[in-house]
Amino acid sequence: MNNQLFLRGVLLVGFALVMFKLIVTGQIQQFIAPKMFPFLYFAMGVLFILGIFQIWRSDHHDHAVGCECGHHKDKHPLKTWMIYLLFIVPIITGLMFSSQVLDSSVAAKRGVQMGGGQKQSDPSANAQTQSLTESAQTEQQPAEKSIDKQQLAKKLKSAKKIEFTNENYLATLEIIHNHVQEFIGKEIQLTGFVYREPDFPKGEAVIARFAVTCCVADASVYGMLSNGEQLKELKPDEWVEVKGVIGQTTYEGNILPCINIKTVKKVQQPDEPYVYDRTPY
Amino acid sequence: MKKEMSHTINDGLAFVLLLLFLYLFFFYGMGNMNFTLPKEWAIVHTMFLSIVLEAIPFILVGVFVSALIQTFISEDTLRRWLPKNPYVAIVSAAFFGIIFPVCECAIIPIVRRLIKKGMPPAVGMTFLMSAPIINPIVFLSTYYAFQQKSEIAFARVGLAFCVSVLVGLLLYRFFQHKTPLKPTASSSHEHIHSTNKWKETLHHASEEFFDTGKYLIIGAFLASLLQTFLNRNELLQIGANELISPVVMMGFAYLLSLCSEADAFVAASFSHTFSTGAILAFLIYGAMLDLKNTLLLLAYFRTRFVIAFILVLTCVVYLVVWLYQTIFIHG
Repeated sequence: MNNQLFLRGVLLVGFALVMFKLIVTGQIQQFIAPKMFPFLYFAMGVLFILGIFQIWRSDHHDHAVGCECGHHKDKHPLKTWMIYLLFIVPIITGLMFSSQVLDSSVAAKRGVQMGGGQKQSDPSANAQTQSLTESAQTEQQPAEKSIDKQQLAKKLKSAKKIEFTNENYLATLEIIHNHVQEFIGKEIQLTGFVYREPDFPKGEAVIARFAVTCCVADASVYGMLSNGEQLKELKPDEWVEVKGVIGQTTYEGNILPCINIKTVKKVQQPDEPYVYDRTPY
Repeated sequence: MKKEMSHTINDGLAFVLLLLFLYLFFFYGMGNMNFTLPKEWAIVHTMFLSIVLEAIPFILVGVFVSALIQTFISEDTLRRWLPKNPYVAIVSAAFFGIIFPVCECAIIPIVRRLIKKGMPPAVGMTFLMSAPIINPIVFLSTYYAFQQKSEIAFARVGLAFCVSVLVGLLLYRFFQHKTPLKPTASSSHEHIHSTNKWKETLHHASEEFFDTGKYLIIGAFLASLLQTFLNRNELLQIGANELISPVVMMGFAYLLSLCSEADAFVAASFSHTFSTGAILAFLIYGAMLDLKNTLLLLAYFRTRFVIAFILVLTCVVYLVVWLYQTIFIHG
């Protein structure tokens, strides 16, 4: 009887191979966030076991387990293969093509958050009265998180120089954004890619990173508005390490922190192009 | 004899495939890439693969739980567990997600199996709608995404409860006596197999993985096209209108097909342009139903039932959000 056990087994192993290759080459972090890795390891193991199990059984013709109980309607073999093609194609492309790091063309379509994730959190920077009243109502924050953020905020406020890391990128951005006044004049160092809105003058750019929660489908862009002569020769998507001084500017009616650039250094795109610190658990 | 022949051909092709996979795995592109896609399609491919990789673990959990239910829980046990009163059953089904936090990919095979085992469809669908929202993990991520607006997290859970119970009741009223499941998909194994129950579970799981997987792959591909080519800034133009914006955000959530754990962060990036109502519509509708999900539903449920479900759910979400907006935000 034709139950395609062997083929199914091969496909299950194929998916496990795709996962394994992405993990080995480290590309996996350009698809899903590290906190989802345990689930992926689990899936890889299960797919391997299931696949081997199917391949092994296809040779045994174990009818009792095979349940040849007629629920596989005999479809035309071509139609069956069309369905399996759906599985075959992603396995082949998954093994062949490397991941594409999201760039400013994606950022342009998604919109860039300048400052922390939550513009409405700063009432003075907000033009919308509705969210203004709402943000005023809810000042309470989850206990554990607020300690972390408060500590970071305290540390940053007393620091002379603000340095962004992969781990504190978003939190730092949010803190600076919410307390612009206290940060004006501080030195800042930040790595990211260059992004420009169509209406930006040449000497202005956003130094940005993509943040990922679960998989790149939910990625959004966060960055800091920057200005300086040195930005003029930079093209979008170039990775740079910028140093400068925090200032304040108005963009589309919002008061935003910005970087007055002192030096710009072109750098290689980092091995970890995304940041993942959106959830603390 | 002809069957034997085609069997051999199939196995031969499968063997060639295995060799191809192994070749690609070991030797292809380890150094410099020999073949690349145009950039936009490379992004589509990355999005597609990331959605698939993200979903596979949870689909596997779903099919395994479903297979375990199939093998180990009898119709009688389930019947004894469920409240006799259908209204009580529907309301309590809305809370299953708290003890049993499953996301929207995993829930569909499970609910389908429960319905097959005799759970009333309305109760099953209530569970299906509520579990991706009324569960601790999703609540936490919503809470963190909207830290300065924590009422969003509470409203999301509260309104999701109202929506799933309301839709459950409507389904109970209109689909009480009809089975919503496809006859073809109901690969019933009523007869008892003599061998090991664990082997049987593995078999059912792999069977269902392929049943579900083909829809996942099509859905993920469509979603990745939209993820790549849809310009979100165009949405912002409509953000201000309070009556239309929830509809826009519902449509947007439907097309993006995000996980209910991650969608709050995407919604947060719209929170300065869209009304709270529109954000809630996005968060509630998208977790209960999306493009990827619809295809998964179509794998198991009758097309007419799916269409009716989508229509009812869409109207109810819109109405509930509208009521919330009128009462709590303006009132």
